[in-house]
Amino acid sequence: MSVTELETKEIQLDAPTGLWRDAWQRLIRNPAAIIGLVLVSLFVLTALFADVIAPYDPRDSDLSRLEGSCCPGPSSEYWFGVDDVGRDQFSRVVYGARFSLLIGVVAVTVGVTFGVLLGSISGYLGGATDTLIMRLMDIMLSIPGLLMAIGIAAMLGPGLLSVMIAVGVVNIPIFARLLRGSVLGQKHNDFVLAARAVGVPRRTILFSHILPNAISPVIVAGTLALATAIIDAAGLGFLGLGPQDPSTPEWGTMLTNTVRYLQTAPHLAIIPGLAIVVSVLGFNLIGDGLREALDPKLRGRT
Amino acid sequence: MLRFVVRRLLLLVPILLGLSILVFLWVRALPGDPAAALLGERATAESIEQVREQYGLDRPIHIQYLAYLRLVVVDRNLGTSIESRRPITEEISRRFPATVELAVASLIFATVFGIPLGFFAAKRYGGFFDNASLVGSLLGISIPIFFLALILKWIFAVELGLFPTIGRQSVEINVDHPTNFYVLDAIIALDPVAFSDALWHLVLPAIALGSIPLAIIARITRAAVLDVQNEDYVRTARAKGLASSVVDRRHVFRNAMLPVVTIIGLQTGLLLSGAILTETVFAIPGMGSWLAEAIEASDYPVLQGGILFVAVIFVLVNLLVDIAYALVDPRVRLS
Amino acid sequence: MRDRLKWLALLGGVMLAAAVPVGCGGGGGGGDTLTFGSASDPVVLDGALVSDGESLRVIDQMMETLVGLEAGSTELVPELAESWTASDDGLTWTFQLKDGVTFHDGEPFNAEAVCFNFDRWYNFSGPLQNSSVSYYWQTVFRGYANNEDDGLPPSLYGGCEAQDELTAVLTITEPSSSFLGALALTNFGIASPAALTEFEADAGTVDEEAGVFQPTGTYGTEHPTGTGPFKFESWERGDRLTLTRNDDYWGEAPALGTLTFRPISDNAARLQALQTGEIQGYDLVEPQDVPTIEGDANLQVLDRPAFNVGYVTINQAMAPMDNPLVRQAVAHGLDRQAVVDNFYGGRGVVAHQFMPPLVEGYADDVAQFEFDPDRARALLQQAGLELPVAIEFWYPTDVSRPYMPDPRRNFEAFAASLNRSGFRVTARSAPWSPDYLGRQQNGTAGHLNLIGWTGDFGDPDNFVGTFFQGPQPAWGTDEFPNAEVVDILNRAERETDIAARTGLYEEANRMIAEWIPGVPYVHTSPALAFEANVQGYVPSPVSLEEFATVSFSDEGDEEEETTEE
Repeated sequence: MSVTELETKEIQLDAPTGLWRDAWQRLIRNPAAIIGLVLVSLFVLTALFADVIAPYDPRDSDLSRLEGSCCPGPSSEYWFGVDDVGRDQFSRVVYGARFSLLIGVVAVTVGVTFGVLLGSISGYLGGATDTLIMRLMDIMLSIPGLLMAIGIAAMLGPGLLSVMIAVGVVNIPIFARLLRGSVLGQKHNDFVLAARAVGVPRRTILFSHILPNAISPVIVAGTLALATAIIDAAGLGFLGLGPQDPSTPEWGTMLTNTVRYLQTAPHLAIIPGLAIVVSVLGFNLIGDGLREALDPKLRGRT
Repeated sequence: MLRFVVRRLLLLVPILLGLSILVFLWVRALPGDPAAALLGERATAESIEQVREQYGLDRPIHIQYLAYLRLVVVDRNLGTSIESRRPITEEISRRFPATVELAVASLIFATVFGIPLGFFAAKRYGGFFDNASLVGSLLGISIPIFFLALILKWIFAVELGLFPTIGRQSVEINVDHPTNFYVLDAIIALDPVAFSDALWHLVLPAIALGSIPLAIIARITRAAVLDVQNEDYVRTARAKGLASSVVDRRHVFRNAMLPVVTIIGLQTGLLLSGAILTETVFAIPGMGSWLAEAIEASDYPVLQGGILFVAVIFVLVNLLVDIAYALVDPRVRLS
Repeated sequence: MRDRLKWLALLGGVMLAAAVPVGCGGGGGGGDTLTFGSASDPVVLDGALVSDGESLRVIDQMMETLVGLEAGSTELVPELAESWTASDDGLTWTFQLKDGVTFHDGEPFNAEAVCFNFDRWYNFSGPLQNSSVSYYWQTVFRGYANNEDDGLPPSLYGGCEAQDELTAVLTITEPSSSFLGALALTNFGIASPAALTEFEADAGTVDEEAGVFQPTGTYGTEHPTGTGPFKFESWERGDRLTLTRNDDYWGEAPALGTLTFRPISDNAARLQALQTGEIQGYDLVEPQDVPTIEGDANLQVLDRPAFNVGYVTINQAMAPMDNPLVRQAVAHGLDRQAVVDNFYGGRGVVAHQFMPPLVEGYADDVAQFEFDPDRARALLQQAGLELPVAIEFWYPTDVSRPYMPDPRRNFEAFAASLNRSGFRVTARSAPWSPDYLGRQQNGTAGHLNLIGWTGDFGDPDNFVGTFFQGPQPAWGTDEFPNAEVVDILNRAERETDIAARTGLYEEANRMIAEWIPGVPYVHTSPALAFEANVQGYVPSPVSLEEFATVSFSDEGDEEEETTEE
């Protein structure tokens, strides 16, 4: 069982949809979640409007900016300083948000799409299909996430696409398990049985009734998965499995390439690192806030 | 209980077999040519063909697998590393204890700080400490391990000089290593200087590696304590007039520990993946840094043998955790 | 339970407190012990079976060769051979050996031992003939007694005769002007025949799965036995390798009693280890760290004479690189000056030919190509190509070379300047060993790739001869050979008159510069770093230095603790 699992199992699957309004109220009263919302908004806006925000071309290398050493720190001209090949670090960090957002979104989409599909089929059909699919998911879950991502990325050959796929595939069993649980929980509800009795096709029941009720745990898990995706992608980049073009302004790659300057120009490694921490923290805060907001059991105390 | 254990042990065989096939296929799926890789720097088209024939790389894949299986199971030979030219079993005997030592140290750090943190956060539910520790533990899982390791190393080892920067032991320490667990070896040799030196080298890596388990353990402890606190038997105990601390110790703590212990057992995977990054930053010669180097260098035998070994250990540890859990919670045995 | 815990905590605390002061990164040197930070563990301590710098660094302290190099230069001086003469036809070389020399195991050093060693290498068979195992034998002597691979040429080695106790006669099959210099290579160190036999230096298994030759004898791992100033003490892989002073050394005994090598693969970690006193010296200092080290009063930087060349290979077998106009465009499209000025910490000079100024045959008047993006574009258009011209440019990862401390950085700067000069560069990379090296040599590393070369011995043949004397897939010269260059190099190798020889190599360098098989861009003075009180280390152009002359300047005191302020 993974952490996401343990934490999201709290969320009850048969919560009525009127929950949303209450959840929102609770969410905005949670200070941590507000911070998360702010951070994530900042992250997404930066990623979307990178062209406008960045003052320079992130790939434009101009050695004269170096002034013979490595490397000039933050200045009025170059807010985050200049990297070892004469590029503006601020512009690179800004565009880096775009890459991280892309990686995160693609990875989670892959995980959610296949996971939800597999999980709902497995849960609804039951029997041999269920056993087969779940065994496969168990095997995948038994391998630690980062290791599996490394394995997949190594197999596909290093690169941006491989990282996205690798991190995405790691998410599949989590969502599959989640959906299966949700479907199983609802399968024998009265309204489902009634619909079956009337002759509503299974597929319609699945898509129109069961799935919408399973959304809230998926949203929480998805937010948390996005956070993990960004971190794991950075880790893969650190190990050399990320984008192979070193001029790519991706935070993980930037970190790897600037670690050797930690003593002479620490800002080069620290700033992308902090960017990763802040963005990931934002998603984790929101995800956590959502989880608490959507779980009625956590309200109140003895 | 016995039936449970026997059933699980029997399941081991197909699991291990499946793992070996998986690893075998995975190594073959890696880009690059093993024949070219082992010829190294001066491979030519003819010599690659020669090597292929010589080492049976052109035989059908299931034959290759069976040959490999025989090598591993019968001869207990996991192959030889291309990089170091040493037998892989020898490297493992040297590197595995290093990783285990680090993992244990990290787990101790995570547990010693995580459980009290989670406990007090639950006791002060909704208060400042609770919220602060919540953000703190979320921060813990938001920092990439290698970044944390780098920062810790830079601040505490390089700039402040409080800790050693790399490795497992300082140069001037001269102690025998019968077990390759440096802390243990120091105890065996009754050498307090070596003992503290080994411990000192573990501090920063353990903090870096243990940061995520710390956050998780704190969260789970908090959740578990909150759950238990709301249970009827606890409220009954309080209603009866028992002192809060007694209730805490006798009922809340004990019962909350159940899910926490499970979580601790499940940290193996996280520790393993984190070890790859931590060991690289601190230059600790363990399994993690070894596999990272092997991936970079396309050292196929190491990847095959090393990962298989790690996977087997992983399965065994999970088995032990399951058995331990079943011992404690009778409901599990019946499932 | 709580009480027990408290007791355990107390006990642990006491033990820690008792020994904490030592944990604070104390010093490990001074007096007569020096710890050196190497980049990795040696592979094996048998010179004939290795070609990597770290193995050779350690082996060099224990083994000696017939001829040696003057400390700090490439001049040949007597080592185990006091004098030598060559016959008129250049085929017979007679060496008078030093008297009174013994191996570390007590066995006497004599002509028989010399011939035993040479014959051993000549008679390598099976996996020992693999070029990745006995590279230097193949480079110098070309072949073996029984070539198992038809691709191997007949050997240059004719035989060895022990005329008397101290006279060894080596015969070669063809005259060669570089033969003598090659004998100074550490790979040809003379080892004790008794030890070689007893500890089965040639025994090894070939791993069934991977085909890696793994020595099973203990010679190369536990009993390397030479005549040198240091002898082997112990080796714990991944941790340290320890050598001790050879008290029976025939020459001046070293000041150091113990010499330890600690493998630290991370460059930054080596610097940190030096700063905290865990090691007293290390090699392959990164240029950006040089100011830090120079600014520290407790440390010093030592420079090696420039004996290397970093260059961009152009693979003519990949169109359009076979077109000389395109190659000229590449030469004009690389901003060499900016790279050398900014990336080498002031320790590099722009290179215009494939060997450093130190080597005989260096020509002062070769064609030079300034960075000129406009000219590059014009040339490409003249060649009838549509801009931008797409090319693949490879660089290695996971490595730091003296001529190329940060390959990725060089690559990025060059790619950027090429992109401004009418090209469109696609980045490709691979780990240095074995992938990148293999590809680079097989000619499968794109149109352009980054590589370099540090000389093994002070001979122009070791530079331009190695690159251009024969067809090589790396340059595409198996498909597009340059007969003129090959001819002049062949003549130069056979030429025994030194002045004429130098003239021929100078001419060759001029031709090569016009031909542009690649673009050399830097010669560097690779730096080493030591604690300030280390003296007597003489940096060598070939990057192999003796620790025998090293001592600490405040010697005379007891073992000192060197603590950092």
